[in-house]
Amino acid sequence: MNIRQFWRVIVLILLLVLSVVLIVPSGPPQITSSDSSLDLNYGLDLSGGTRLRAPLLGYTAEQVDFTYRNEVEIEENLVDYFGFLSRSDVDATLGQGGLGTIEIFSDISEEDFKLALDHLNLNHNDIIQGVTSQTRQTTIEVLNKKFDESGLSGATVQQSITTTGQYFIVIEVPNYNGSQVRKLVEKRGSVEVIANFPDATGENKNIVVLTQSDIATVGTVQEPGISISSYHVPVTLTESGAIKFQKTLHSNGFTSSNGVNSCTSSLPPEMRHCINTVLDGDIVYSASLSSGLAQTIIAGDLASSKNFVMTSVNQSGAELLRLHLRAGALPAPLDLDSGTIDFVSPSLADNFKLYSLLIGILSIFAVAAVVFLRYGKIKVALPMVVTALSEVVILLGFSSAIGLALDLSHIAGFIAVIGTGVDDLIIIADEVMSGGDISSKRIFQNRFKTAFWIIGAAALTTIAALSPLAILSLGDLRGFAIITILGVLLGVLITRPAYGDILRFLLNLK
Amino acid sequence: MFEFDVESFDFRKYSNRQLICIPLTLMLLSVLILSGWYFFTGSPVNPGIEFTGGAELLLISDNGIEPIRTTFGSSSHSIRSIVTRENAYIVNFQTSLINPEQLESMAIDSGFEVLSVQSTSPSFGAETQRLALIGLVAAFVGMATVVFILFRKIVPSVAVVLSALGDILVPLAIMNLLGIQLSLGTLAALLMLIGYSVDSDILLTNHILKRKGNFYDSLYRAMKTGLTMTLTSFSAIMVMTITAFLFGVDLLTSIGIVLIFGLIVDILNTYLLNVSLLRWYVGEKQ
Repeated sequence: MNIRQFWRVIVLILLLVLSVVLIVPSGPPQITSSDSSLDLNYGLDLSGGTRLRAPLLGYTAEQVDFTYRNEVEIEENLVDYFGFLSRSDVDATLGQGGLGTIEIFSDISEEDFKLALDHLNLNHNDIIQGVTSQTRQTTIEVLNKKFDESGLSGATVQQSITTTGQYFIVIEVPNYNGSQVRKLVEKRGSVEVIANFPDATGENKNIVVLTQSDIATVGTVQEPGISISSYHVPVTLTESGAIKFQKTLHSNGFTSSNGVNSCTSSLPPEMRHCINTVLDGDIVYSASLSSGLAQTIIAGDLASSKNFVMTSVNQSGAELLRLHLRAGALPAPLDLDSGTIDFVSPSLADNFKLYSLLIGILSIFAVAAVVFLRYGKIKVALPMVVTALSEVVILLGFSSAIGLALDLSHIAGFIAVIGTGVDDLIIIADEVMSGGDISSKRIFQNRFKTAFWIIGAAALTTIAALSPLAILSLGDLRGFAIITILGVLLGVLITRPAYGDILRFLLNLK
Repeated sequence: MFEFDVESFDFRKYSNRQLICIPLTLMLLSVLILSGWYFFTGSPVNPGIEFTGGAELLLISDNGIEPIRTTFGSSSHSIRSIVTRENAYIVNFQTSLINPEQLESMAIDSGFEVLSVQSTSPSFGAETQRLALIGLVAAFVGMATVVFILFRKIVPSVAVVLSALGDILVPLAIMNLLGIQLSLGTLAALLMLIGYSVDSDILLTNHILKRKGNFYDSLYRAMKTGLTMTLTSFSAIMVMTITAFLFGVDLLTSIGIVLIFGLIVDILNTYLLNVSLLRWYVGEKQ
C-alpha cells in the first residue's frame, strides 16, 4: 500500500489524535464531577450565568472648533445651558489642529445638543449617537475593575458592533443572576461629597468638596463603632483634595459652633450644615461635621493627616460605595433599556450540558442504524459512522484550541454537520458502488470524482448560505453558522475524501 | 439491508403538470397563509421576543400556576407549563414595560426558583429583526448565485432555487399554524433546510444533466441515494427532537420540528417539482 495514496486518511488520524489531546484534560483523570471531564469552554447556555448587552448612552459632536476656548470652559458652559446635567455628564476633548470632540452622556435629543452648541457659538460637524472609542475603551476598563473588585469572578466585558455601526457593550458573568450583575453596572458609580449649607444671605448652597479624583486610597468597609455610628469606608485624600476640603468647609461656617453637628432633623432645614455623600446625583448619606474633625480642620491638620471616612446607611450600601470608589466612575452610562439581558441558572445549564451530549449520541445512533440497515455491509457503514463522528471530534478539538465558548446553538451546528456529513458519505458510497464491482483504480477514481463534484457543489452552496450569518451580529446564529461552515470545510477538504480512500481500500480487499 | 423501491412510483404515468401541481399548490397555500398572517397581525410570522422585545422567565413554582398568576397578574402575556419538568412554567412578557431584573426579583420574592431569564428591549429586537431579514435574504441570494454558477443553465438552476424556496415557505406557514414562533433558533433551522434541500437537488440535477443514458434510470438512481440521505437526516433529527422535547431543551425542539416538516416538504419539492422541471427541460432539448 502506498502511503501517498492515503495521505488524507493520515491527516484525518493526525487531526483526530490532536483533537483528543486538546479535549481530554491533561494530568490525572478527575472522577469528582461531570463538568471537569472535558477540556472545553462553555458559553452561557451550558455553564450558567448572565449575559447583558447594552449600548452606551450619549451623543458626540465631532470636529468642534475649540479656538479661543478650553475644555473646562466648554464643559461648564454646557452644564449651565442644560441645567439638569452634572459635570460628569459632559466631556470636551481637544484633539489636533484646534478641533475636538464634545460628548454628552445623557438622554438629550440631537436637536437640543445642536441648539446648545449653536448657542455657545461652537462650530461643529455632525452630531452622532454614541460615544467616542476612547470613552468606550475606558468604560470597558472601568467595568472590568468593578467586576474584579466585586468578586464576581470570570466576568468578561467586550464590545460588539452592529451593521449600522452601533456599538454594544457585552458583559458575560458566569454563575451570577441578572439582578446581581445589573446592580453593579446600572449606575455609573460617580461618587461625590457635596457640602450643603446656608450662605451669608441665608440661601441654601451646594458645593462639590470632593470628587473621586481627590481620593488617593480606599480602605475596607468598617462596622459601626463608638466614634462613627454607621457603616463606613475610610479613605485617604490627595493633598490637593484635603486642602480644598479643609478650605471650603472652614470658609462656609461648617467649623463654627452653628455648623458643627448641625445636620440633624431637630434643626430647621435652613440652619443645617450637611456633608452629603452623593452617588450618581442621589444623596446616599447625610452627616454633620463632627467636632473632632472640625478641630482638625481649624488647626489645619487635615492636609497632613488626609484621613476621611465615607459613610453609608447599611453594609451593602457601604460595600457598593467602596466598589465605586475603587473602580472609578463609568465615563458613560450603560443604556440598559436598549439591550438584552439573559440569565441561565447553573443547574439548568448543567442539565443542558448533559442533555446535549445525550441528544448528540442518540442522533448518531439513529444515523448509524439507518446506514447499517440500508447498506447491510459493515465495510461501508462502519467507516461512515466513524468518519461522521470524527468530524465532530475534530470540530470540538478546534473549538477547544481557539477557546470558543460552546452554546446550544453550536450543538445545533454539530448536529447539522453530522447530518450533511453523512449525506455526503452516502453520495460517495452510492456513487462508488454503482454499476457493479470496481475492477480498476481508474473506474473508482472517475466515480469518486463525480461524487466529489456533487459534494463540493453542495458544500459551496451551504457555505454561501451561511456566511452572511457568520458575519452579522445575530447572537446565537453566529455560533451555529461558524460551526457549520467549519464542519463543511473540514468535511470537503479532509474527512469525506478520506472516507473515499478507506472505502476503496476496504472494497479492494475482496 | 433494505432498498428504496423507487421504481414503484412510475413517473411516466404522470404529466409534468400533474406532478408539479402538488408542490406548487402547497407553496401557494403557504404564501396565502403568510400573507393572511401579515394582513391580520401585521407580520407574516409569529415573531418571538428576540424580535419584538419582551421577556421570558423559566421558573419552578411548587404550588402550580396560581401563584404565578397572582404575582405577575395581567402584565404577563402567557404562562405555559413544561410537560417534562415538574412544576416548571414559562412566563412570557411581550411588552417590556417592566424591566427584566424587576421581574426576576418579583419571582424570587414570591418564592419561585428562577431557572432562566431572557429579555430583549424593543429597539434591540427591531435591529435583530432587520439583521435576520438581511441574513435570510443574503443566504438565499448567496445560495442561488452559487447554483447558477455551478449549472450555468437557467431552467435547472431555477428548479433548484424554486424547490429551496418552497422548503422555506411551507415550513414557515406550518410554523404559523402550529403556533411556533420565529426565533433565532427556528431561523437557524430554516437555513439548515437550505443546506439539506440543496444537497439532494444538486445530486438529482447532476445525475440527470451530466449522465448519458436513460432519463428514468438516472432519476431512480439519484432518488435512491437522495432518499437514503433524507432518511438518515430525518431519523437523526427525529431522535434529536423527541429527546430535546423530553428534556425540555426548547431551542433544539423547535429547530427539530421545523426541520422535520422541512425535510418532508423537501421530498415533494425535489421529486415532484424539481424532477418535472428537469424532465420538461430535457424533453425540450431532445
